[in-house]
Amino acid sequence: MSATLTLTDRLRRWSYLQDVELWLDPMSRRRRREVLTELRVTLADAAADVGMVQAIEDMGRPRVLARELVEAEPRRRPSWSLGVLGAGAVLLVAMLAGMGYLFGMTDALLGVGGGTAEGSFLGIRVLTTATEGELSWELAGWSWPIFVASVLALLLCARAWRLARR
Amino acid sequence: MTTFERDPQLLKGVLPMLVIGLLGAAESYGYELVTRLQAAGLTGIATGTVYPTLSRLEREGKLTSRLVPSPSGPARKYYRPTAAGEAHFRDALAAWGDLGVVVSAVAAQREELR
Repeated sequence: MSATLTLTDRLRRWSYLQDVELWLDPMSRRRRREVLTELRVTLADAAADVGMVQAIEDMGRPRVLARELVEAEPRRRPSWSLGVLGAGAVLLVAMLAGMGYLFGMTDALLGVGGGTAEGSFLGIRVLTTATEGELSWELAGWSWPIFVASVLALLLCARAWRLARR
Repeated sequence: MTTFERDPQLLKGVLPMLVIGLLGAAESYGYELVTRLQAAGLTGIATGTVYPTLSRLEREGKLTSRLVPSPSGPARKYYRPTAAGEAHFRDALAAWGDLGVVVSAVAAQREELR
């Protein structure tokens, strides 16, 4: 039933399967490869019948399909790529908040005519110099709150407790 | 055939039985099975509904599969029921029959009271 796919259809299928693969992270690599190979063949078969756009639509949303496939697995692994995304999100928020703190401090210093001030942001020592001729920041130290929040986000998003169920 | 919206939960419950039933009649690969289900009357059934069921039944040992080279692309995975799958089909069919009797009895009572 399969026919040669056009480049556009191949790209559509590739893009869809990339999305599915992201959510198949809890599967072993070998099993994930098996599933994706079969989905690739099934999409080609369906595309020969109804076209690739409809074939992809019939597969449903990548996340929903992947969730059902993962639920069918007897043993589920932690999803480390989602864990890394979660930890990255925490780091990004902390970085943006830190930048807000630095800019706020600089603004306040310039508002009183400039100078040097020392502060602390979630455990990180911040030394800000803001004068007409100089604008600099010096950061020192280690933020345990950010570290703990990132590790927690990693473990929670990855569903690390699945390791204990083996 | 009367067209009505099927309850997704009901379909989810009965789909494994239908899949094993059809594969017991003749082995099929994924998309072929979808078209067979559609031809059997499940016109709205989607590939995304059938494929996880196939995968689950195989992982549960109710289906087995073999790869068959395809002249026009990668090898296709053909599924057929195992002995456990056939036993599951017989049990599910019997349970479905019992349920059908109950539904018919309730419907008959309503008709009598009218």
